[in-house]
Amino acid sequence: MTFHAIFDALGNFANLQMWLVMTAGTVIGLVFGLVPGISGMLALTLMLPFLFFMTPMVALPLIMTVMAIQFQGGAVSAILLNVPGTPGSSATLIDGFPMTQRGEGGRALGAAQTASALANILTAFVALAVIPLILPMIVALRSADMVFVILLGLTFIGVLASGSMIKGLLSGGVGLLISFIGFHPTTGAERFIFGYLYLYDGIPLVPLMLGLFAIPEMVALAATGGNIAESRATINGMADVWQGVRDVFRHKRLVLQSQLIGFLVGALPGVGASPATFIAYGHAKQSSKDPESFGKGNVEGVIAAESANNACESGALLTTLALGIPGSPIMALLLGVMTMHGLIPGPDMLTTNLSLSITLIWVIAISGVLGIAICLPLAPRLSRIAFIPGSLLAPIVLVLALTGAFSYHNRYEDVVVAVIFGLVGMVMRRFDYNRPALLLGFILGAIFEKFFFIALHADGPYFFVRPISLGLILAIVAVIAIGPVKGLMKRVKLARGEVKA
Amino acid sequence: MKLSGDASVYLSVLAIALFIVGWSLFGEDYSFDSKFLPILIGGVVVLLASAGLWNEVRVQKKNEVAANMSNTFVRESWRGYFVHFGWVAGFLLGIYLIGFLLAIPIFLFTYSRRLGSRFLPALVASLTVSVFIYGAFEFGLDVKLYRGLLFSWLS
Repeated sequence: MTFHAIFDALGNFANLQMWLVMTAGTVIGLVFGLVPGISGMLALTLMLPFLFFMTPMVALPLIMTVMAIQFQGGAVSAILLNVPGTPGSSATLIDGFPMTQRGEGGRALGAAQTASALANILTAFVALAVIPLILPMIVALRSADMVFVILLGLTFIGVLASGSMIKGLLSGGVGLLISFIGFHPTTGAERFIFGYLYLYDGIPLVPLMLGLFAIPEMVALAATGGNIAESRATINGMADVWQGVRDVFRHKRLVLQSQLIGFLVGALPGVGASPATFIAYGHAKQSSKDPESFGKGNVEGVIAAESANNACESGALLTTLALGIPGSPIMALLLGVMTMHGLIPGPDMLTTNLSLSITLIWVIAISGVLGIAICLPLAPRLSRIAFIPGSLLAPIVLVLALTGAFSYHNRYEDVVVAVIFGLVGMVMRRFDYNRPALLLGFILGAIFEKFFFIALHADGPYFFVRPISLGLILAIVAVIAIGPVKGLMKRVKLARGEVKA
Repeated sequence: MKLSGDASVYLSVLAIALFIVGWSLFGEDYSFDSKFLPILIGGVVVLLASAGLWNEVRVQKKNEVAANMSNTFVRESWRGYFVHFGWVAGFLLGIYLIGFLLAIPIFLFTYSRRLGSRFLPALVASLTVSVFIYGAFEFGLDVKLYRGLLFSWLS
C-alpha cells in the first residue's frame, strides 16, 4: 500500500499548479525566514485566511514548503546580519557571522544552503522509509489508546517546550477547556455559550491563532521599538559560495550525523528545531579535529546547525501525521490547517489520507532543491528585506491579522475574538506560558472528547487497561517525572557535596 | 503582601477553571457525557494552578525584596505593552465605527508615525497596504469587508 501511495503521491507533482504553489511557498518561506521579527510561526498564522480558501492539496503543500524553507531564509540573516531569522537558526550565527566578518560570508552561505537542501532531501527519504515500519503500530491503536496518545502529546509539548512544567501543562489544559465551548456534537448540549449564538460553533480557530501568535509578537516588537537588523554585510562572489558547497561534501560524516540528530529530536513531540541544532552543534564541536576554532568561524558549526534544523522538519512531520501530535510547535499550526480543511490528524493520515501525507514528505524533499536554486543567487539581495523597520512592520502585520480574522467567516465578532486572544497571548508571552500547547489543546480537544467517549462506551470505565494504553500512561508519567527527578538527584548530589552549587 | 504578576495569572486561571467546574456541576442541566470532561480537565487545571500559585507565593515570601523590585520592573515594561495593545483595541473600535476601508489607512498612518516612521514612508506604506488589502480581500477572496456602523447608518 505504501509503495503504491509513494508513486501515487509523485503523480501530484505532474501538474504545473503544484510547482507554482511550491515556488510561491519557497519565496514566502525565504522572505519570512529572513525577517527576524517574523518567524515561520507568524508567517503561517498570517497566511491562514488565504489557506482557508484553498483546497487541501494546495494549502498543505504551500505551508509545508514555507515550513521547510524558513530555516534557509533564517540562515541568510544569521550569517550576513548576525540576527537569527528563525529561532532554529540561532546556532548558525555562532560560526556563520564570524565567517562573514572574516570575509567568508559567501562560503558560509553556500555551506548553509547546501547542508539545508541535503537535509531536506535525505531525511524526506528516511521518513518515507519509516512509514511502512510504523504503519502496523499506528493501525493497532484503538480509541482508548488515542486518548492517551493525545494526552502524551500535550504533556510532551507542555513539558519539553516550556521553561516551567506547570505553565506548560496549564497551557494545554486551558486549550482543552476552550475547546469545550459550544455545541456538543454527540449530546447536543450547548456548553458555556450563555445564550450567545456566536459561540454555538465554538471559538473559531483562525481568529484564535491570529490573536494568539500575531498580535503579541507585533505588540512586543512595537513596545521594544527599533529596527531588527542593523549591520550590513556583503559577500564576495560565487566562487566563495561554491567553496561552501564543497565544504559540505568534504564533511559527509558530520552532515549525516547532524541530520540523524535533527530527525530524531524532531520526531520527539513538541521539541522543535532549536534544541536539535544546539545538540548537533555540540556534537560537531566534540568530534572536530579543531574544536578551539568553533565560535570563531568554523564552517563545520554552520554545516551541523543547518543540517539539524532542516532534518528536524521531516521528523516532526512524521510524528504530526502519524499520531496527530505536533513534532514541533510550528507543526501545531499544520494541525490547525488540517482541521480547518476537515482532515482528522492522527492515524487517518497514514491510512485513508496516506497519499496526501506522502505528498507532503515529497514536498519537503523538492523544496530543498527549489530553496537552494532560488536562495543561492538571490540571498544577498534578499537579505535587504531584514531591514524593514519595525515601525512599519508592526502596523502592517496587525492590519493583516485583524482583516484575516474577519475574512474567516465575514463576522466582526471574529475580529473581537482575535483581539481578546491577542491579549491572552500577550499575557502568555510575558509570563512564559506555552502558546503552541494551548493551541494544540484547543485543536485536539474535540477529537480527544470523541475518542474518550467511544472508549468509555465501548470498553467501559476500565478502558485504559490495555497494554498500549498502559504503556502510554507510563510514558506520560515518565515525561512529567523527568524534571522533578532530575531536581531531586541534583539536590542529593549537592547534599553529598559531589557538585558545586 | 502584594501578588506578583505570575501569581495573579495563576489566580485568574484558577478562578476561570473553578467557574467552569462549578458551572458544569450546578449551572446547567448537562448530561453526564457533556459535563464529565469539563469537570475532569477543569479539576486538573485547578490543581495545577493551585500548585503554581502555592509555589509562587512560597518563593515570593522568601524573596520579598527581590519580588518588590521585579514587580516594579514588571509594571514598567507592562505599561509599554498595554499602550501598544491600546492601539490595537482602538483599531478594533475604529473598524466597528468606520469600517475596514477607512480604519486601515488611518491606523496604518497614525500608528507607524507614532512608532517613529517618517511622514512620506508612513503615507506610502499605508496607502499601498490599504490598496493591497482592498484588492486581495474584496476581489481576490471575494470577502466583503465590514463597512462599519457609521456607513451602515448613513446608507
